[in-house]
Order: sequence, then structure tokens, then C-alpha cells
Amino acid sequence: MRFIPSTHETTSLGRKNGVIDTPFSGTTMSFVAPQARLAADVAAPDNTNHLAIRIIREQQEPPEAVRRRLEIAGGRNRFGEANYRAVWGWSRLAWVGGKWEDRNSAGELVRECVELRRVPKYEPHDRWHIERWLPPEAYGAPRAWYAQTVERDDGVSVPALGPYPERGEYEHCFTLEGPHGEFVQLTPTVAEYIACAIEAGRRASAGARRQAIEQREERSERDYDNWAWDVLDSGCPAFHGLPFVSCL
Amino acid sequence: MTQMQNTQTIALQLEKVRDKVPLLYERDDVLLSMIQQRGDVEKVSSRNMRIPLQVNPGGKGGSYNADGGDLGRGSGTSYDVAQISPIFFRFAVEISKLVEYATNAREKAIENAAKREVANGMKQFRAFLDKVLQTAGNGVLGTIGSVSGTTLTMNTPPGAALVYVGQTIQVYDSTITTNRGSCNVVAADPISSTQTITIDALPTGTIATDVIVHDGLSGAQPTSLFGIKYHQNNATTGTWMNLNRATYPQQLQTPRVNAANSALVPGYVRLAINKVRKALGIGHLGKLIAYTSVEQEHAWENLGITISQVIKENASGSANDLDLLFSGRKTMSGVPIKSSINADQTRVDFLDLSHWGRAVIKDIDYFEVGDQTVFPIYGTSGGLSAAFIFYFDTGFQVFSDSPRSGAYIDGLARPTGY
Repeated sequence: MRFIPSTHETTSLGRKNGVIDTPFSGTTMSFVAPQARLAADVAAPDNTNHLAIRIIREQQEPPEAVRRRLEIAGGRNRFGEANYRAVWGWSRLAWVGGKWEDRNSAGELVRECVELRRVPKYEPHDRWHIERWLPPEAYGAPRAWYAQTVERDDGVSVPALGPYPERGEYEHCFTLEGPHGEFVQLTPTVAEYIACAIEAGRRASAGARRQAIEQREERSERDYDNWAWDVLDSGCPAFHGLPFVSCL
Repeated sequence: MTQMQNTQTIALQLEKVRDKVPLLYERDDVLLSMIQQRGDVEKVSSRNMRIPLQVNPGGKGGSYNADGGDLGRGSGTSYDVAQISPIFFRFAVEISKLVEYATNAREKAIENAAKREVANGMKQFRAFLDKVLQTAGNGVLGTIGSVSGTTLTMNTPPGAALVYVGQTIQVYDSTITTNRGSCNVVAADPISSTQTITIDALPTGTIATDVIVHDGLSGAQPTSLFGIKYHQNNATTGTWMNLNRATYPQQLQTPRVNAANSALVPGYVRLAINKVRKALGIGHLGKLIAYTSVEQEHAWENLGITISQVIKENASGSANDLDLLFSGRKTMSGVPIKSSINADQTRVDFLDLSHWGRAVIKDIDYFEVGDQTVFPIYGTSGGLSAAFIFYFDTGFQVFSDSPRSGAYIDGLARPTGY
């Protein structure tokens, strides 16, 4: 098996528990292409030298209060880390291995390569996500992990999910967004509530969880029947077409 | 003198609800409706609909010697054409005269009986089409595991999930070549682990490994709706929308994760999602949905990393900002889950429905001859029977223009208790 160190921009940043740290506070920045910068300079009416920057990956760290509340709600794992944590979509990177097709802005294929890259794990990138730690045994034995995840392209083998998670891994639980996908701010109360709700669900038996799903399906059936009947009733004239006044 | 017949007045009653029929049909609660609402709709004639596909990129990239070197020749993009043609489906609703008589308010009773049958019939028609949409395009609704009298024990998946009581089904041999005959389902148990179907009469020659298909299909290797297992498939042989899969083995393959009869774990989900991300590009996952069965939704809940249905049910009692979060979508590694009782119990399909669509030749409506939508039934004597019949019908086919835009996990173990 061969691991290829990635040269992708997202991999060149330091990391800590899967969340990257950079010299910048909050954002990662890069200069735009020289042509674009030149265009910006030409367009400047006062002929000053504008520094055009483009934010390519916005990073956020959760407030300390949120970390603390999640730790209290969910406890710590065997490594002394919190079972729950909040991560910003852009900040949470994960290994993805395999054959990559890099394209330019016009969609043209620039290159193909087989390698491991660290890329944002969740979408939407601009939302807070709550994660829960899963122990390494949840991912099976290392041998089984590599047997399941190794992909071979162009004679190169790469584990599609990266190295075996020897210290476990944090997995997605919940995306903080409104019913229509709108942004919801991360607050200690919301984070704690979600962690407590998941923990409460973990204490429910598998039978209870199954029953709840079946009840939902039955309710859905009833809702459809009621809705359909209402829809059809609305097509019916008042008093089902009978005269409003009876004449004796 | 022409006598006014009951069937003519019933038609008038049905016409009152005619504009409600599409509304009842296109409701966002099953896969069929999701495709109807999110996918493209193309109006087609009886000729094949052609879907041009860019199968291979063009152009020759490389370095060259600017000091008089040869720049070489070029190439162009390769296209091919996928083709589909609509399949017609009907749903027959028959009402006996007794239904009309069993009331003391005549006009209202006739109307209600008809309306109730419209509601029930439309619901059942949608359920039937949704079940067919779970198949591999051949109309196979299940595989017989064993035969005992008129009781068929079905292999899971899909078990007995894709049939309903009263449905007429046909039995074919395992190669879908020999039609052994048809029968009616008198009982179906898709809930318990036994997954049995009881039929009224066993077609002669029926054996284990035979398959059941829906009514209306005929001949060897019949074609039905191109369902989820037709488009989400990693086969490299056979045909896909009239294209030879062997000609484009990579382009027409949907990425697959084989769970090999093990339980659903986050690693499988990440593998499948990553395969799509590599195909679509990072940052294009927003349109995906995780379409799965309630069994696998339950398996995902059992991992203890999502807010379970138990908690969501309880959270609906009061209204505050936090409850709004709970009314939101349940996700699988961030991808919204859509579960269905009809979905394969051992699969999770990641679908980008923006690549799916319908080729429609006839929208759902009453089957009509002239202006008549309700028809009399005739008895064996040639006289009228004390019943009348009406039909819903539609003609369409489901297509996908990018099989690589999805992924699927199959071979998942069912959770304990199913």
C-alpha cells in the first residue's frame, strides 16, 4: 500500500483533531490570480495599488461556552476529549482518497491524479455541525478497514477514507439550520439541547425507536387520507348541490 | 327513446373532482413524487425520447517543441444517445351497485362513494407505481424463496413489500422468460421476518427462485418502469436506456459500496458520499438525498449519532425555537434522509434528483372514451352487471442523465427485529 502526501492546499494546513488551525484567525485567504489582480489595479481610478483578496475557506472555532456545555452534556471519551463538539463546515476536514479530476473554471479537465486529500467533510460548509465521537471499534478492525476502503486506480492504492481512525472519529449528528435551510447561530443552549436529545435517544430501546418510526409512518398514512378527503370535499358545491331553501 | 342510465350520472359526479386528481397524484411523500416534483418533465410522443450524453471528453493535451516541433492532431468530444419510451399504467376501480343503494340520501351517497373511490384508488395507484419504481426496470416485485400450497415465502429484499392485497400478479421463471400464469394476492405480510404472500391459486409449475411481476407485462424479459435499481447500478453488461453498458463501463456505472451483509456504519456512508463527491466535485453535495428503507433509518438511529424518532415525536408538543430545529430533516452524515416503506430493506441510495426526470406521454387522469369516463360492466349473459368501472391511466418513463451522480450501499444487514 502506498500513501501519497497530498499537495492540495487544504492539506498544507496544520490540524488538531480534524479541525485545522492556521496562522489566520477565522479565515484562510489567498491572492487572486495575477490576471484578476491586474484587472483590479487597472480599474482603480486613483491608480492606487489595490490588494485583491479572495476568501477560499472561511474558518470558525466554536465559543468556549459551547465547548463547555457540550462537554457537560455528553461527557468525555476514553482519551479525555469531549464526546460532542461543534464544528464549522469549512473548518472540518476529512481524508478522501481516490482518483481526482481537477478542472479549471471553465470546467475543462486540467489533471487527474490518485491521492489522498483533506477536504471539507460536511455540507453546507457555512453552517455549524454537531459531531459525536465514535470509538475505533465502531470502524471495525484495521485490516477490515483497509480491505473495505482501499481503492486502486492507475496502479496506485489509496484508502478512500484515509488511515484507520485509531483514536476513533467524530461523526456528524446534526446540522444547525432552520426548517428551510436558513442559518441558525450556534449558542450554548442549542448545542446542549441537541447533545442531550441524542443522549436521551441513545437510552431508548431499539424497540421503542422502531415503534416511533412505525407510528410516524402510520400517521403519514392518516394524514394523506384526511388531506385527500379534504381536497375532494373542496371540489364539491355547498350542501352537495341541494337547494339552500326547501320549498314545501 | 333513450333511457338515462346510472353510469351517465356517475360520470357527472366524477367530473366534479376531476381537477383534483393530479393534486392527489403528485404529493411529496414517496420516491415517485420526489421525481415528479424535483426532476425534469419531458412531454413525449409515442416515439423514443432521445437523451444525448457526453460520454467521453475531447481534445489532446500535451507539451510540444515550439522550435519547429509537430503539434500533433486533435480529437473531439464523444456523444451517444440514450433512448426511452413511455410505459402505460392503468388502475381500475370498480364499484358495485350496492354501494349506491346502501344509503338514504341518494345524491350525496353516489357522490361520496365515487369520491371515496377516487381518493382510495389514487392513493393505491401512486403506491403501486412507487413500488414498481423500486425495481430494476423489469417489473419484478419479488423472488419466491419457497412454496407451500398457496403461500409463497419471499426472499428479502424486497420480501413481500412490493405487493398489496387484491393485486393481480404474474409468476415468471427466474430468467423472466416463461410466464407461468397469473393469480391474485389475498394476503401479504411485509412486516414480520417471514415475508409471505398468500395467493388465490398457484400457477402451474411455480417453484422456488421464480419471480413475481406486476399485471400487464407479457413475453420474455418484459420492460417496465426504469426504477431505482435500473439507474443506480454498477453492472457492466446489459443495456441502460438502449445503450450497451459494456461500451461505457465506467461512464454508466453508479458507484457502489458492498456492505456484504454487515450492519450500516458511518464508514459505508462516507465511502458512498465520497464517491459521489469525486464524481461531482467537492461542494456539489447539496442536492443529494439518502433514500432508504425504514429498516436502515432505524439502523442509522441505532448508531446513536442522530436525534432519534422517539425524541422527535416528543419534541413536537411545544413550540419554541429549539423545536423548530427538531422539525428539520434527519440526516445521514449531513445528507437528508428520505425513508420509505417500499424501499429495498438492505440499501441506501444517494440520489441527485436534479439528474432524474420523467418522459410523459399522458398525465394522470381518467381513462376517457368520448366524454365518458365511467363504463358499465356486462354480465356473462350479455346483459348489464350491477356494477360500473372507471380507470386512472398514465403513460411515462423515468430517466436519469447521469448515473455517476449517485451512489449506493447494498447488502446491508437488517436490524434485529425485522
